[in-house]
Amino acid sequence: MNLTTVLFYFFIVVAGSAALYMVITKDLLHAALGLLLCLLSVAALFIFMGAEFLAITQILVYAGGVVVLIIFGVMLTQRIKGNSLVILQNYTVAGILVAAGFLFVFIKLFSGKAIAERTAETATVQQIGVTLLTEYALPIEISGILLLVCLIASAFAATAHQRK
Amino acid sequence: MDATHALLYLSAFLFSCGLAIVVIKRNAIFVLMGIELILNAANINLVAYNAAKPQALDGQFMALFIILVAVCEAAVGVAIVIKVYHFYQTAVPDEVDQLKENF
Repeated sequence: MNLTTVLFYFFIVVAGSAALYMVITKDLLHAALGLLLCLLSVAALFIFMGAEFLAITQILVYAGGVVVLIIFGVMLTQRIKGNSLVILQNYTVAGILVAAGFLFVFIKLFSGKAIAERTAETATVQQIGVTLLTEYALPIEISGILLLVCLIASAFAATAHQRK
Repeated sequence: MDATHALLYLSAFLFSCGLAIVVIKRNAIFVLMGIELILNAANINLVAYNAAKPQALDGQFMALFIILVAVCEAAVGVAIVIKVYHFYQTAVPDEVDQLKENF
């Protein structure tokens, strides 16, 4: 049981408990911070699994972009009067039952398979870059167009238009 | 329990938490957060299976494109929620029950 293993399971526990906290809490901002903690722990787990490039992307895009965007959304859609952003819940029992059912099915599904352990060296960033611009050139271009379209669409949708 | 199985169980747990959030919480922003959690669970799965074959990068690239789509979804989703909030003065999905304004 060396330090790497301990840290690996530590980040797994942190990610899981942050997600559980998101389910339990009713405060919108606390949940956003829980999401941030969960995503950062998952980025750390990506490093352990040899996906450094993905881990950096996760931190940059999710922690730097999506969570900030969501917090902006919270600020713009809630009436803040000094009290915390408590929200209502419904279908609590049904939601927990559905989630527990899916969890049971997935654990049943995953527990059977034996997976080959991680072997030797991992891919370098150079390899990833070369593959991205040769084998995956078309998907990268398409996702560039997708990002442009969604940028324009969200800017257009969020602007206040003059009603005729 | 080896590392890959631990990651698979974590991804199953994150998916279930995201699903529970989507069903339980009465707030559109919260639902978006649950969807982010679900997409992230899929990413963990892809990376965990990709780690068995480090030279084949397909799983990592699939996860990369999932991140891209998740970003687009979050941006457009938050824009729509803000627009809906301006119109209905609420961010509760259940109370948004009309498509066009009344005449």
